[in-house]
Amino acid sequence: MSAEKKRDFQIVNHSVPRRDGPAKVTGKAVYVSDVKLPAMAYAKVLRSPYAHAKIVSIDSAKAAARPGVYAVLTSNDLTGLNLYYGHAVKDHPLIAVDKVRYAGEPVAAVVAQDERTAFEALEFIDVKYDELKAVLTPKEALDKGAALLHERTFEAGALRGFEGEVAAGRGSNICQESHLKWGDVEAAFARAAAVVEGEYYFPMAYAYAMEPYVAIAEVSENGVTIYSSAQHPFMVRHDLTTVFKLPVSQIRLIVPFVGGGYGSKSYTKIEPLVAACAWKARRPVKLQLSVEEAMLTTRSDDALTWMRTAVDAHGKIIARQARIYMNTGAYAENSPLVCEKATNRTVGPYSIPNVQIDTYSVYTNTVPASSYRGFGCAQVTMAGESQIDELATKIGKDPYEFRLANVAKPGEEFFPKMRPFDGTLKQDLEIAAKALDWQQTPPKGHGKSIGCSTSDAGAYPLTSTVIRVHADSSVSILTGSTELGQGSHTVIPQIVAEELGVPFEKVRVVASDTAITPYDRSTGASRTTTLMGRAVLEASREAIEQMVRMAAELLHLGVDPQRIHAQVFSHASAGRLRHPMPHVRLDHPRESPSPGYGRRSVAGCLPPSNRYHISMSHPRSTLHPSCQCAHS
Amino acid sequence: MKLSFLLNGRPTEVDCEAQETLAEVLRARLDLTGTKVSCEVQVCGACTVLVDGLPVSACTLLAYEVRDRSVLTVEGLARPDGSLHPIQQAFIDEFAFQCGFCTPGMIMATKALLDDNPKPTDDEIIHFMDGNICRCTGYVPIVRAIKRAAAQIQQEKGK
Repeated sequence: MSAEKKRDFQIVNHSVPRRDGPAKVTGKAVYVSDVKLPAMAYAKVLRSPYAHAKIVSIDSAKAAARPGVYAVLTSNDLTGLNLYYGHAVKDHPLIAVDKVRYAGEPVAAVVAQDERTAFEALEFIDVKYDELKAVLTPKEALDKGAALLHERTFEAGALRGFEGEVAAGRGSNICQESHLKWGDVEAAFARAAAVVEGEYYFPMAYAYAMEPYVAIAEVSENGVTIYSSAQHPFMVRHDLTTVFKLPVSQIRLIVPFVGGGYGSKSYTKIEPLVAACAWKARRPVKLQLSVEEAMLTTRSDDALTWMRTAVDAHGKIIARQARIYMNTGAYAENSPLVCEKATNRTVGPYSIPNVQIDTYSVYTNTVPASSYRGFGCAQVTMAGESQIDELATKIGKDPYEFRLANVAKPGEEFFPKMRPFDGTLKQDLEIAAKALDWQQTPPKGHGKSIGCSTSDAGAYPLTSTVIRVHADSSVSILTGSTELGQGSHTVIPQIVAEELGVPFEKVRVVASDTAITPYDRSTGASRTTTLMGRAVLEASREAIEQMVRMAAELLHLGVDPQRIHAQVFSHASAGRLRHPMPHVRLDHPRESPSPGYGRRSVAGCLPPSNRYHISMSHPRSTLHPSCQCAHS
Repeated sequence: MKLSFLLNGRPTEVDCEAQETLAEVLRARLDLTGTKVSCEVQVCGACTVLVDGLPVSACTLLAYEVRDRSVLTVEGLARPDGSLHPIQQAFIDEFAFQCGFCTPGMIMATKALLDDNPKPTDDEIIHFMDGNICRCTGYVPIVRAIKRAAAQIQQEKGK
């Protein structure tokens, strides 16, 4: 690693203009809302006015008969599809079946020639409900005799590690539990010099990505194609294979530019519904939600936290205990993982010898909750850091100094079963304190505070890519990382251009089309540069190796493959190769070799009588001196 | 109904319904999708266009209101030779966008500001841009871009 650090980078570590700049400042950047397919129809959704109700009947005949209406979709006419999907657990029907579990849940959808016609038809759908008692908070949902949201168990979703763990259908509204315990909390509180205890409520929030959820679906005998604003197209693909009972190869997700996500566009949202609309209406269908509808689609978990924290006489934090009730809403979505992360993040960045955290994620009759900006962290850090401030005040210490004395040090193993702490919080806090002019008393009416938290990284390292080096040494990168505005389409080609030694301008990104781009688990948790960046780096090195190997074979150089590998890697990592890519050119004759071969055949396979003109140069490598040859 | 207006400097005639908004006509009928629609209640500024030089939310303005008037959208900002307007260039140079969904509205609001007040202070910029939301929260580079654009426009005028 030290060798890499010393590299004199030419493209990486330099400020290059964003790739998406010209498109985004001229209005030419294409988002799903800008996509129009031939013969495309538009869907609008009828939503439940009740938080919890049985659906007695739905009569959609009048709406279906209106001019310009192509189809009305309800759970009654989806025979052949599997209606349930979900990331952690498949508890989420694509449209309400038999009952509604939150106000705003889709009950029916109209597909029509335009949005206005579809919208106007909604009021001609007659739905009869039998209202049930709703539970709106975890406390109500856990009361004895509380109405149950889900009466049965569900199959596990794509989220690893949650098979069978979600508690839906076990006779309570608990969706997920997470527990953490080490040391002896009771004993520590008994001998504490000072203790603070309190209850904290962190409200639900809507992410408000500027672009509300939008998707276009097309269903044909070749499968399902969806344009979506999804952050993780491959996860949506997985859910759609369940809904349509189709192989992975027949579900295609295409994600152009995404107008903001912040976690709110993680996982499957409206894609199954719009695909079902297209399936029923037998034509491409677009579903563009309004912001108001987006708020009825996903929000973040709200949390009620009881917490106590203790210090000893030397000002060392010795114990923390918390009981957290997270409100996951009507469906699990990603909340089981939010629950687990909240539990871990409750400990904070402190080395605490006695810890007990009990977290419950609870189903309620509210909008489903899921990921949002460092999920699970804000909910509990607000409580934890409040207590750090209160404790400092209680023992007469400066809250900043108190933190400095207690934060985990780099390399410290303060969290069992996790890797040692790899942050430099002490230095970070010093920077923050300096920026805040910490010792200065703020003017009247102003205040300042300092806080910190730690995050157990949330991204699974499953990422793959393809680097295609063309005959003219330009390069295409196939990546499943979605451009949400974080700059992935700029940083990824930077890494590839650096490693291959080709100009940045010659490297193009082909992104987020599950039919073309290799699997990438997700775009979130700040993982793109580290994981996809690493993948394209390794792919670039492998491309060099393959080209050297291919050239050696064509030139009959008889180079030991092991040596090529070792040389390419040692040179690349030592940064000694400014232009490590051997130039392998395949020059075609100007004339078609024979009337039988048209110029069409150039792409893909070369006519056998073409002359291969190969030139290789490896300026600073002793491995391959420049050489040229031609053969026919 | 037939709607005639000046769109990005060109006389334009388009068929539309009386209840259609300007955003609908621009996006659906004229395929000018640079104007983005987000809140639909005149709060976020993503759909900002200029009507007779003044910033307007296209999501809530009925299209017929622009009859015989002049409308400028983000597609009409670049110069005839295709080069970027100084405001567009400044947004690129200052990395004043991330997801880009608010950017056309930000740029059009900036145009309105600088046409009226060529040398705005930071406070004036922040006050004027109050109607434009960026949820990637890149406000600081946006303010920098506006100042850079103002300086550039001044410099070009001085030549």
